[in-house]
Amino acid sequence: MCNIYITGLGIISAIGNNVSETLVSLKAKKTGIKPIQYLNTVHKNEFVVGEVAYSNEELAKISGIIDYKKHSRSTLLALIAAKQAFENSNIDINDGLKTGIISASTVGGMDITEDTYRLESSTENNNFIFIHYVSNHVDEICKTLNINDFSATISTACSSSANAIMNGARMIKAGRLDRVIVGGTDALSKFTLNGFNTLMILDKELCSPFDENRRGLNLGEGAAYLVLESEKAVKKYNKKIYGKVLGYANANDAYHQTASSPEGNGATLAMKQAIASAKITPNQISYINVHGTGTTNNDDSEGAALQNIYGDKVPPFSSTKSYTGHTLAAAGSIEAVFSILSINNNLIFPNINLKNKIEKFNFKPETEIIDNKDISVVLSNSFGFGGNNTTLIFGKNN
Amino acid sequence: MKITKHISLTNKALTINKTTVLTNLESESFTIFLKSIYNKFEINYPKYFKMDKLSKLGFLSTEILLHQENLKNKYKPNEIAIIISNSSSTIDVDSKFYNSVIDKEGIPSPSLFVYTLPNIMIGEICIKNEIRGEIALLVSEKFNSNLIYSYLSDVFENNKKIKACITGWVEIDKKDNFNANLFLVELIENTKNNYTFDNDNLKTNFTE
Amino acid sequence: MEELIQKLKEQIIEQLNLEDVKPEDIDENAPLFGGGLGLDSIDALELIVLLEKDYGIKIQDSSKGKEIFYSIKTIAEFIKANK
Repeated sequence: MCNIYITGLGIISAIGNNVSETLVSLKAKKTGIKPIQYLNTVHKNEFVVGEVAYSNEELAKISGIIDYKKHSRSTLLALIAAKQAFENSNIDINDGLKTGIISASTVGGMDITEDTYRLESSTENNNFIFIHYVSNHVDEICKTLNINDFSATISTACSSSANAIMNGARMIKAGRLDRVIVGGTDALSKFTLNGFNTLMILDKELCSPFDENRRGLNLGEGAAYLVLESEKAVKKYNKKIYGKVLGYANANDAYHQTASSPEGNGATLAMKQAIASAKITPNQISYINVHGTGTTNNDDSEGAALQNIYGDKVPPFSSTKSYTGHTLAAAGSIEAVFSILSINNNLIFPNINLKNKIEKFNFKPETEIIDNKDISVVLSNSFGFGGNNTTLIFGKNN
Repeated sequence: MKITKHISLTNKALTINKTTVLTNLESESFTIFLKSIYNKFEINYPKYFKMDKLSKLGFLSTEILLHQENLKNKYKPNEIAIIISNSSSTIDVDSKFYNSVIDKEGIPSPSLFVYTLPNIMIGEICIKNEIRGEIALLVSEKFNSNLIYSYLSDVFENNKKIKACITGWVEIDKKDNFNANLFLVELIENTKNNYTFDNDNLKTNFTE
Repeated sequence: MEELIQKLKEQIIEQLNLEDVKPEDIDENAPLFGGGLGLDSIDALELIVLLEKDYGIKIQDSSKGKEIFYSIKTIAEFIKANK
């Protein structure tokens, strides 16, 4: 099988503005979830969220954007993370190798629309904003990084950026591209905060995934990108390799618009097929970064899926959403970066805030850092509304 | 790989394999024109009426595409994929939800919010047809046959379980202009109406 | 009470987009969920919004919905008791 190498990482979230800050927070068990500081909402004192600790103006400065009012927060976050990944991989965009980008967003430019415009029924101006909101950040990244060979935007809710990674890996495999920047971005917005609030699945305190008494999720924001490269690209430069994409799969739960099936059907299919595509056995997985949103429904369903595959002997697992909150379209790529950090540092990051394990399962997430094991293969789950379940498998470059 | 069926459903007409089945002579509204098709095909699915416009369009187009195809007998749930693209995402319901957020932040409609995610449309199709294979929603400014062709080729190449795919374009803009062009793509040849699955045939069959 | 039940039937048909269902088709004592109306958990959330918007009653815990929304009759009783 042809190898898909990871040669660059970029990330910004509530727990750090780059890869090294992120690793420090993960190791220190330091959550980024706090009372709302930047988001302008009547719910300011009601919810805690994983915010990136900068105003839009400050984010624009970091990303080198002059007129910050023209760009949504999602775009600013995306630019920062994509640039980091690009520079981390030392890409020479004019070297003749085919370079593409596949990115994901669900919220897109909702925040800029919220603050700047009031939506009346059908003015041209509003149409323009709405039509362009999801893919705008991709155009901006292409312009800034001079990427011309291929670009695509994926919008499959909370599994979006995991699907971007899967699709990017396939394009490398098929020889369509030599390198591809893959990931996603989503900023906090009133739109999503109110939306999730009406679904009554927000926890007003710190979320506690896989806890018997969990109350729901905390929203977060951020962006993360990975650079995937072919054998040809890696050989040309003798690059530092952070790891490999070993396997991937996407399957549908076909159960309900938003709820996951109690038996975890879609999740089980995604995990099984990803494990098969990586040509490994379930027991070769050293660590599972679960989707683990902290809602009653997700963790029950995902737990059932783990049980379907492993019985009671589940490999060490944790939900890092207790650090970042649920970053929606960015979650898949943020957790992909965490998975790569796990592999590179032989660390398992804990599931913070856990008090009582879920009674019906005979397994529980890790609650302390584990640093005495070789982490060679990591499985990462990302599930989205609409029953869209994606599993990615990353491995050490031996 | 073959395109074994194609349907288009627009403001003007419904066509199946290039044959016009129904014309919207009276320029009926989206809701009325689609309801007449719903009745014509004797669909009985009360959930349809709860969907947003994009989901209604995607759902109904798929029902027509799969009408008399007996996909369930031919394929297992995880052997069918759905890859759909679109430009305006869920603009209609976005602005409705949006206005309710700005007006009275606190009590907007939960179902309105759910439908602001475009892949809920695909979720609805999966629920109705018990499809568990790979799904994706791609955003592009207009129908990009090459994007669909290359994406789908990689799906078939990499995911050997997939034997059929529902693919194409499902779009509705702020002014209720709508266009669904769906293709049934199968690994095994069908008896009739076969086109090779390639960029050109996606492009030439696409009906504006 | 009769008046409230009638009003609730109309509101539910409208709020939940129950196509081709008339108020007289709904039996106020029959279970709302799991029956012929095909309602699901999103509809339950819509009912919570309806109670808040139109009757000023806030339900904080969505798990309480099951008892309250058992039938049109139980909703009417709940509204009467909490108004």
